[in-house]
Amino acid sequence: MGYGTPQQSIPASAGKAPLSKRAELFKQIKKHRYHYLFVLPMLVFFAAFTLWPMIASWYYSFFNWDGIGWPTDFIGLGNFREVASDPGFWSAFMNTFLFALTHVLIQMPLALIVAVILNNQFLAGRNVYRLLLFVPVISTTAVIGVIFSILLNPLGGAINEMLLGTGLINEPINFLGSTTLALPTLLAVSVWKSFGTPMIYWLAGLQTIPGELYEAAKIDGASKVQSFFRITVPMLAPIGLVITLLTFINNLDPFDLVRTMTEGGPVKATDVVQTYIFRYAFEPESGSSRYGFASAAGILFSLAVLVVVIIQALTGKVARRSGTKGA
Amino acid sequence: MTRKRSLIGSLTAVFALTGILAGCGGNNNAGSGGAATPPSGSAATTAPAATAAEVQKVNFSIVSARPGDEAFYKEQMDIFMKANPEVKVTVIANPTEQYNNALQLSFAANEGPDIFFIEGGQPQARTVYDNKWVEPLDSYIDDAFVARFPEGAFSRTSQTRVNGEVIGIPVRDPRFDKVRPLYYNKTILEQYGYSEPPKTHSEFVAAATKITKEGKGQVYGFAMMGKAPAVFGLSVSGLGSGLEGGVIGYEGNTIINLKTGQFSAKSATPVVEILRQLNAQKIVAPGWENWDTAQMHQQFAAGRVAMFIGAAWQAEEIRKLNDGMDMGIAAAPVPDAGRSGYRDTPTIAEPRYAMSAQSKSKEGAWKVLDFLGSVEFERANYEYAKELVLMPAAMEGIAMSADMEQIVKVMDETIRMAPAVNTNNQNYDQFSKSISDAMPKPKIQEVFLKAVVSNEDPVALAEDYDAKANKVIDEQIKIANNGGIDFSREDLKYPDWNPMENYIIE
Repeated sequence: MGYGTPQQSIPASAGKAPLSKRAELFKQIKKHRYHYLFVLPMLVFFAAFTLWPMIASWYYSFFNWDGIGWPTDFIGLGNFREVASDPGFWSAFMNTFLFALTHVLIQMPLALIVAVILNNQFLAGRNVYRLLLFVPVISTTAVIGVIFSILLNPLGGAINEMLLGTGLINEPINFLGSTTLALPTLLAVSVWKSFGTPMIYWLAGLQTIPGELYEAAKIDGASKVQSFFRITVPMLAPIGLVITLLTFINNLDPFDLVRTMTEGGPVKATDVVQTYIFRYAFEPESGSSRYGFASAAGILFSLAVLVVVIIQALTGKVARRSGTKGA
Repeated sequence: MTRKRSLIGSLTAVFALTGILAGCGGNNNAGSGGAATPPSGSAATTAPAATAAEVQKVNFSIVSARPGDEAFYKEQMDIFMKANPEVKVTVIANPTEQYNNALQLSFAANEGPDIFFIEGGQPQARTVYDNKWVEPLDSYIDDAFVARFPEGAFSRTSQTRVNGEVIGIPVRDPRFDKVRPLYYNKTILEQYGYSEPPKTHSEFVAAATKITKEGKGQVYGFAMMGKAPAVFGLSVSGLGSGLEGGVIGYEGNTIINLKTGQFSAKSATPVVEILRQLNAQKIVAPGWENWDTAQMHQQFAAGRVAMFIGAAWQAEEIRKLNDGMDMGIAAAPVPDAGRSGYRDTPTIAEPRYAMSAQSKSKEGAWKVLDFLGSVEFERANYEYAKELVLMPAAMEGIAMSADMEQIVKVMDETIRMAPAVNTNNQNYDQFSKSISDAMPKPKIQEVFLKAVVSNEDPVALAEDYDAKANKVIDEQIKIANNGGIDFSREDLKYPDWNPMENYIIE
């Protein structure tokens, strides 16, 4: 029988003795050996560079380990206790969630409005606008971070020079050096940078709504605002839950932007969990790396994210159920 | 069973293939394997022929921090082998970030090099000693060898010794890394009426204030680097170098008053207060909170900043950006009442080259170390690496840039040898990392940075921190004692030390 040829299943009652589960498994493996062979390289790299580091970080988190040699100084939950008692970690933790929440609460609604505008087939040049809004998404974040750092510099930066030149301000704005302005500035750059992603998601969702619904609503005398809230929003709700989840998860890791623009400063005002971990693992203030401590911080954060994702998934499930009942 | 064997066989073959492919693309320079079977061409090969029975093979493990390092050492070993044909030296280079791991693996496999770099300062010196990787050199060095180096290079207080034993040969002058000079733009200072840099804190504040106020946003009198607490610490330690004598570690996270044995962040607060006032009055260049060294170089080279306090290596970086600028380098200002202390260095010499305790060619290894401790080698190293070496004779006759001359002057003027925290009792090294890790968070340099940025009283913050830090030290000493390590607070005290003089105990 040739590879890929459909086979009929043989009923157990066909006269042959049923194969044991193990024999059946090996039979299946042999039958699909080429599939396994082709998947194997990916599995090897996945195991080596994703799975193993995840498992290893759990192991390392129980040791006081500087990364040289094998970890031998077992300290139990000591690293976890130290992370949990560090206000710097919780501040970074809050900032990280603030990043994700800002994108969910500000970027997503804005992206929906823009998507609705760009979904209008009578809008001239709508593809050009879509492209322009999507270009920052495919630009390298580190490059954007460096460029914005230069643009926003109070001493000679283009944005401050322009504002000073037009007389809008009397003295330069310390966008990235102020403990109160630095985080909002980073959030604004981040929202701008990734704006195209939820916009594309919303556009995809909008194109699944049948045009007849709007036509019927129009005939019934509904205004555009009423159509938006009575047709667009309910129809987009299921995909909206998925977009919310994706936006939230994607924006929980703003490492590259924070690293290139502020490195978590000034005085940790923009520190996020990723820069916090990076600092302890690779740029330790004490001079020697603390991989065990950094691993514990990573695990605590991932557990928190897991809880949030589970809550979000359960909420979605409940919402879908209530939606079904309503239907 | 046959199927199982077949599957396992297939998996093994794929893993082997993956390994071979990975090996084809990898760097064959790394690790202990390199020590056992050096790659073709890695040995310096121009030594005159000697019979196999006479030749002593010496593996020399170096850190390759710059692209030319490996070639430099091979060239030097060729010179050595011409004069010593009975020794064949193989240079094994590893990048800085892989070096200590590769060394550890090679010693674990009993394939350690005969000579190796001690990379990582005093903590690594202690590690190689505790791991029994190093051969103490006391029986090899004699008075003539010691006389090649400046006074104190092999003293009891020198970091070339661990537990009283010499563990390595020094090369460079560690004061180059320690000095924190005041960089100033002569043109700007002259433009605002200053013919020379400020010498006291008051003069410094007055000059910075005048330039910023009259500069009207085009020029600022002073700037700091605030992107990370560590770079911010350069300003604190520079301006603080003349403060209360007896306190060490203004730049780090363990500020200790060695007269009292107490953690003493409070002693740095006069300087932090000056910086806070300057920032609160908007005298410091805006945006400094987000500057690292690169941004400081750009702004200083562009003539927007009149003064800053930095590290010695920054002079060269500024010159790369603006070779023609009229840059001055001077000692950082001291308190108005005069200098009461110095920027501290616990040693005038740090061990760099060590002999392995596992070496089977110790005689040959010592000959190489003897060469590495010679004026000829230090001279070559100075010419190649442009880093100050310990032996003044090695630098004689070689033109020194005007910037470097100034830096040397500032080093001599502002740095003195002080006791290290571990000088009285080296058992401290066994738990010093625990103290550092257990220090209250945020660490003291971050507390100081926050005081300046957020305009908070540094004295109150420092007093609070001192109380917590001293508690941590007491707790860690107790834990160490319970673990069998003999150490007490008294070991942190040096009541007879005169902070105005070099601390050397032969």
